[in-house]
Amino acid sequence: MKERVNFISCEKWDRTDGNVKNLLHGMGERIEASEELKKRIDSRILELDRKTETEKEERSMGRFSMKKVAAGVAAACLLVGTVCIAGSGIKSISGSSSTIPDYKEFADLPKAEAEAGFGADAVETFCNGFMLEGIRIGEVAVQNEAGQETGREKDIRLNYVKGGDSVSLHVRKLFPGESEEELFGGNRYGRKAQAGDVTIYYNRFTQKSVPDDYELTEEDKAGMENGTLNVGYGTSEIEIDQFSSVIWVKDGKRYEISGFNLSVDADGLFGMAQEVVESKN
Amino acid sequence: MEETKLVQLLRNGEKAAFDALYEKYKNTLLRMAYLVSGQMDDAEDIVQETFVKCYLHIGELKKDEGFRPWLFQILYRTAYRQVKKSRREMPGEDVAIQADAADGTTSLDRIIRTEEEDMVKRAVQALDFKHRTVVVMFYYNEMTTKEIAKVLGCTEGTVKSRLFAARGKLRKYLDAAQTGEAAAGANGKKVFGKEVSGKKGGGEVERTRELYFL
Repeated sequence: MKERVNFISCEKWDRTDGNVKNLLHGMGERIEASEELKKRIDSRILELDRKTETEKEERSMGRFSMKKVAAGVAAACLLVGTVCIAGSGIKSISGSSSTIPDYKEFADLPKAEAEAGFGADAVETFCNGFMLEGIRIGEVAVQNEAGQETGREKDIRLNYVKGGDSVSLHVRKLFPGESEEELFGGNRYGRKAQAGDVTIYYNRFTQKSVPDDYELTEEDKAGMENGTLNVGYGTSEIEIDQFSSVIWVKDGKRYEISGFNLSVDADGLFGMAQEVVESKN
Repeated sequence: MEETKLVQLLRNGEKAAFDALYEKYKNTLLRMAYLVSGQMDDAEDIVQETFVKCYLHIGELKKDEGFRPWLFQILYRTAYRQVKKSRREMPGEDVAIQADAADGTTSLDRIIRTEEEDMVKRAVQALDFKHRTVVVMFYYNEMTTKEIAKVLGCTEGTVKSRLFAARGKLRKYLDAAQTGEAAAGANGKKVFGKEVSGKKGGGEVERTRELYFL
């Protein structure tokens, strides 16, 4: 028989308040996570780890799936950029790196440069307050029209944080066939600015991360067509983010400062790019 | 080992660190998920999804010391989706009916031991998701309104407002259930409570309540 305590009849709500708290605690304490739950979680993680490994193997074997690369973003890898360059023989350039920094101090940039095999313009702290959080060495791969990997190079990624914002400065050498004209031709880049001889291009689009079985809507297709939407597959739910970046080429290297859902606007990013361009002047 | 150290190790892919964090938070998250969803099956699904997301997305955590609110935030969002998916965000009338239906067929008997607990659970479940979550975090997790705001991604003022509204609805619901007199129900409609007697499962006689919404 359930016992009965007439607590609700009390006059003051604060007493009821306390009882609600005690009763919720009483109920909660009788709940314990089962061993079966842990097994389910471990099994799911193992399954996802295997899936990631398989995708890595597929990439190294040249069976490169853009869908799966986008999914890799959700799997704690960073996608550093994908581009199709008409007439260059290059179909796509993409890459990834660990999320764990290789170096944490700006003083270690020369080590990162030595490892990557090229020098990079960079600053330790931007005037708007973004501070270096870490430096990572990653890899970028280039594919030809047939989907074959034709080149692979190391790159340098510097991550900066300010409050809840995080931006990445990504530097890599241009691949054969890439040029500034080919990279920035067309109508993809709406705004540009000048820093000395260097032209800086601003880019912004919506990143829509969707489950594998997601069917594109007409609106999605139109957005992808006009360059305002990028769709990545592999998340459990639909997630929408705003991606913005500034890109430029200097001394045969491609630079990009980018981030998701930034509070910094185009002018702010242009200012940051200018600081990097002028950092070794 | 300190939590921040475990988070750092997890960032490096140390499964043992994940296991240690799981042990630390498994019951807290499961209890929260149960109180928010009202169903043990859903609660386990929510916790499973939360820990898997934690493992996969730990690289996105900006500061190691922010792990706890970050984990709660994942749970909150996952619970919202799960509850929505399970179509349990129903009009108030259905909530009361559904609570009755679940009473004798789930693990509630193991968790709910007194009539008052049963009544409070029903009252909490009759709240909409946003109010229910704030109530659970405030009363069960004993989080401050500031901490809750961080998890929910809203202002502290919004949390206070939701908490105030939720307490008002809880009070009215509980008063109505207790006195059997007409009162404004949890969904803002008039509610009448009446007691009925019945048998269930093992033949135990108990008193339950049904709520009628007009």
